Amino acid sequence: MSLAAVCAWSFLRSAAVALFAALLSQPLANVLVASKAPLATGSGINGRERTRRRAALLGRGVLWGLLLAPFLVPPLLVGYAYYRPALMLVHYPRTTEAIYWAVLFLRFFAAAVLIRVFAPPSPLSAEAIHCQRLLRPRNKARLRRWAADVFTWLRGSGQPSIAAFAVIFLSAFQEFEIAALMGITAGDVQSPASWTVWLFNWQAGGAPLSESLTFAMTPLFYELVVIVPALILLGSWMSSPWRVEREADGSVRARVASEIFLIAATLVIAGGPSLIVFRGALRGLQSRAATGPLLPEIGIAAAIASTAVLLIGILCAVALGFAPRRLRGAIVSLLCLPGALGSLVLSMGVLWLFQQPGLQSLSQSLVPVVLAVAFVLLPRSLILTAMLGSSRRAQAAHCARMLAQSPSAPQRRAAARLIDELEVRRFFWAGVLVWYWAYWELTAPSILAPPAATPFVVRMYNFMHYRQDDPLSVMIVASILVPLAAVALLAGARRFVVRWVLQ
Amino acid sequence: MPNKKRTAVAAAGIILAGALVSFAVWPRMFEAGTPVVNVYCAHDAIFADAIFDEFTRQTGIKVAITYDTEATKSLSLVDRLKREREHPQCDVFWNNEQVGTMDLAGQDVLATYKGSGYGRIPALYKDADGRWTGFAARMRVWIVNTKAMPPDREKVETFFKNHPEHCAMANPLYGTTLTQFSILWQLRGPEHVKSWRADLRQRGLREMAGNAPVKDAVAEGVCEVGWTDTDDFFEALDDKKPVAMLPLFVSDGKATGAESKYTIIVPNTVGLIQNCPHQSEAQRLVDFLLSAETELALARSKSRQIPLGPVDSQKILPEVRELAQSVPQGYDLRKLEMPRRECIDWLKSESRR
Repeated sequence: MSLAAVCAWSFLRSAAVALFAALLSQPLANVLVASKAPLATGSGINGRERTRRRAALLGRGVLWGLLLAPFLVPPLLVGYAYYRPALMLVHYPRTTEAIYWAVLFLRFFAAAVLIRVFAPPSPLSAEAIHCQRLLRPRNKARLRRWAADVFTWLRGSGQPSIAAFAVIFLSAFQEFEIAALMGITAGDVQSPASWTVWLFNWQAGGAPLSESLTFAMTPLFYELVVIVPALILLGSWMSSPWRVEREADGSVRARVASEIFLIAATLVIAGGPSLIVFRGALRGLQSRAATGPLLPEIGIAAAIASTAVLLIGILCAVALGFAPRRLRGAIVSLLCLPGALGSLVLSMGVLWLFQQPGLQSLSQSLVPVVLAVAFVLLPRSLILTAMLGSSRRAQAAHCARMLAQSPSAPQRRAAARLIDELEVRRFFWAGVLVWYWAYWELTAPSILAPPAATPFVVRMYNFMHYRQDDPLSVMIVASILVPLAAVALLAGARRFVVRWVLQ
Repeated sequence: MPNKKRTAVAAAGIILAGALVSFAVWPRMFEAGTPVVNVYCAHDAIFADAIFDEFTRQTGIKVAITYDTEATKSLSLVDRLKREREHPQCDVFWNNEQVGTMDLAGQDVLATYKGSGYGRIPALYKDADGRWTGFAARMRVWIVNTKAMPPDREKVETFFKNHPEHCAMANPLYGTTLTQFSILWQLRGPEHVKSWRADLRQRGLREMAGNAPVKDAVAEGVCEVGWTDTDDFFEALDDKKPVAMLPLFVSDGKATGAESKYTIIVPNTVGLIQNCPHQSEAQRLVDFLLSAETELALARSKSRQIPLGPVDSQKILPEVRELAQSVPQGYDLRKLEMPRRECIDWLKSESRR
């Protein structure tokens, strides 16, 4: 299968997954927004509200946990879990393809929901759209009326859907780890196709970088087909000062349906892999299976991720905060371009760069891998930062900062709590999310990490190839729990530091 | 007061950032002064780790390893070494096959070194100039699901010929399957290989991502027969799967008789990198890897690598002892560089269609 054909197939698959996720995220986001609103308490609860409360099987925290679990499960783990089912289906490539579509959808749809919940709501209210329809002359042709409706949708209520579609499309289109472990190939006669695997295979026996870059142009073209229109359309949305209230759906039926869907998604994407891993880890611990010196490698991965987050933070601040407004679009596009090439091509480019005489002395450092990881994650991080910035409640934050100047200690304490809520907490958790992505990034470290500093994820992937279940499961559990504990500690420290500084 | 606290937090942040950046620039900051040898290793980490640990225990030299993962197989360590030729970072290259190492030797990446272990390896498995030396090999084998059919050579070969849709092999662009294809390319000619593969693919032969999935497919009964390596086969056997193996023979298809049939023995190979930064430590590691002790350790490991040099046969498992008898019958891979290159080019051109 030629690269163009494989790319076209990958494009279709990613577009279908993204479309489905963008559509399905709407009712889910509405339910989550409804669950965000505090419930009325006391005797004033009416019958409908009481029914709604009874129907809510799961609390708000559990609902969010279920939503995020499939999204945050490392892709390696998902691929690892689906390796065997895919193998059993080797004679049924269409079924394997269908499973891959389902896995991609269930893994990424949470991102679409998050975009709908946290991104700024539409600048056009339903009333405004209705008024516009009423004002439209009745004698216009049907096609023109339809075009006007589409235009209104694009400039108004459709914008969160477009953002969700673009982000899911990019994530699904660039996916590699699950495809590789599920045996998705470069498009042989009997198997489904993925351009990432095709490009990987093309490197066999060594291909010049220029050739790889030439090949990377085809998938890049497909990405730009989605990214460029999305950026043009979303620019006005992000910068619009007009906001309307977000829709919320508190109906019992929607809530129950959402809960069932989220439980199923979590079981399929997070539950299965977790069961395999924890069962194996238990056996591994009982039999004291050798796990190898993993802690230093977890430390190396954490150091790479932390440095990458630091760099990403600086670049995001420069691009979205300090750069002149008229240059912002160009700077953001320039910063996103390397990441849009995909992890493999970008890492090869960085490898080549650090073989050049001026930079060669840094080739055995972590600088190349940190740079590559940062640029791989930069598009996602910029979207995240832009979303956080545009949904920021600036007036409330300003009031809280003024309150922090108060001579009264209780008021300063309250201000510290408010500032933490309004400003620090959001960026902290966004940083944790980017750090998490960097921590589990595989392709860049496997190509660029120097011999003295191989992160755990590279070693683990190597082990996964040989199905060493029990020791590997112990390693996986350790690699999840150690940073989890560190993040929990940091989250606690964050509250303490914010209050200590502001009081 | 808050200003002072802010300064303190900012200072702590700057110190932390500085520490991170320093570590990123100089990851060995905590190990300065320790003797070290940098190794690029394509052998399986689960088996190689034990060998390196033993070397460090005996010599006190720390081994910094970069493994060749599934993720990097396409951008293999061979390519990385070629790119680093002008400024070598690696000291020793431990490859899990021979032809890629020969490619490096041909491009002056490897240095000549005939240490204490060089002499004990048969000439068939080492470079006459000492730029690389083979040790501890694998063999290409048929893997058969015994629930589906008995491990009878004639039956297996006939079944493969008639029902390729129930058989599996790894993607021939990589590893030992590429070596197998390159041998056929040399023995039978390009046209034969091209039409043979096209026919098998058309009739539904399953091409998997690697030898391990082939082994799994046969072990689970998804496919009945496949080609894999001895180390993968033994893994399935240890997992108590219903599998058996038969050595895979190659021939030019014209001559008959035992002498015209070859087994495909794929040795691990080790080479010293030209102008490497830690030469004396590297030489000690090469000597260690080529010792009978290492070959024995690898033969007794779960992967059951076949020793190429003389070892105490009482200390190795019976199945390895049996495999070791095929060592002199192995196909000479030393002239395989050109067919391999042509074969890769053809396979890549196939994927572009």
